[in-house]
Amino acid sequence: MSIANIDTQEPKITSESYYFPNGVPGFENYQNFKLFKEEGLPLAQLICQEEESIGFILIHPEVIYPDYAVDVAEDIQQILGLQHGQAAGVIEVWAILTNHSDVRKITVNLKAPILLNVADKKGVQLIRNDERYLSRQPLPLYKDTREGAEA
Amino acid sequence: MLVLARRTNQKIRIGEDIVITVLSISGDNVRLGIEAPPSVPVFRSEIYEDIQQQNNEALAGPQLSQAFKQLLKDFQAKDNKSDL
Repeated sequence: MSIANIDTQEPKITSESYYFPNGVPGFENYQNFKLFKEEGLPLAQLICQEEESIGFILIHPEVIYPDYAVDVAEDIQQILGLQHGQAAGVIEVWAILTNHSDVRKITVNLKAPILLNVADKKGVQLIRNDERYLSRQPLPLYKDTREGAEA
Repeated sequence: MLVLARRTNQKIRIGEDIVITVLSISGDNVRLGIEAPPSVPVFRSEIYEDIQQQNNEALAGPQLSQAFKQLLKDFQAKDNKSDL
């Protein structure tokens, strides 16, 4: 379950359980997930507790867009069990990375971020009606190599 | 499929608490107003289907793929660089 095991030094990994009342699109019947975070990395793993093969790699979207902000509407607040006006501090925002055998072709889903209420341990995948955000946004980390500008 | 003809400003009620109103019609463009309880998610169908498909493509079990291991390494390398 470790997300690192790359370096010889022991990475500090934390895990927390989250309840997704609506599941996530495509897996609406799975409600219980576990979030694995490694200290100092903007990445995490979200693994379904009922079915281990259902899991996602998450990234902090601010790494890609520093001003990425999410408006938490009332219906979403209700799913997350937030009290009115409580929103700001207790919500953690993550985006799902889409796998590809070529690391430079991995994309990030900014259209449907994962929101976590870290206080009550509830989660939801929000679908944004904002056209600026793509469900397949390429990672800026590999911008140069994708454009073949190595020289 | 149930088919109902409606004019501008006419409504359709689904169950006790969902109401759909035809707000305006212009050519082949229809604007609908949807009232539903917060527990009922409402999306444009194609967006929801795209996210379902994205989630399927994004599946990663407890074992990390080579590509993600590489990504992790590249992130760490990037961080080390910015520390210097």
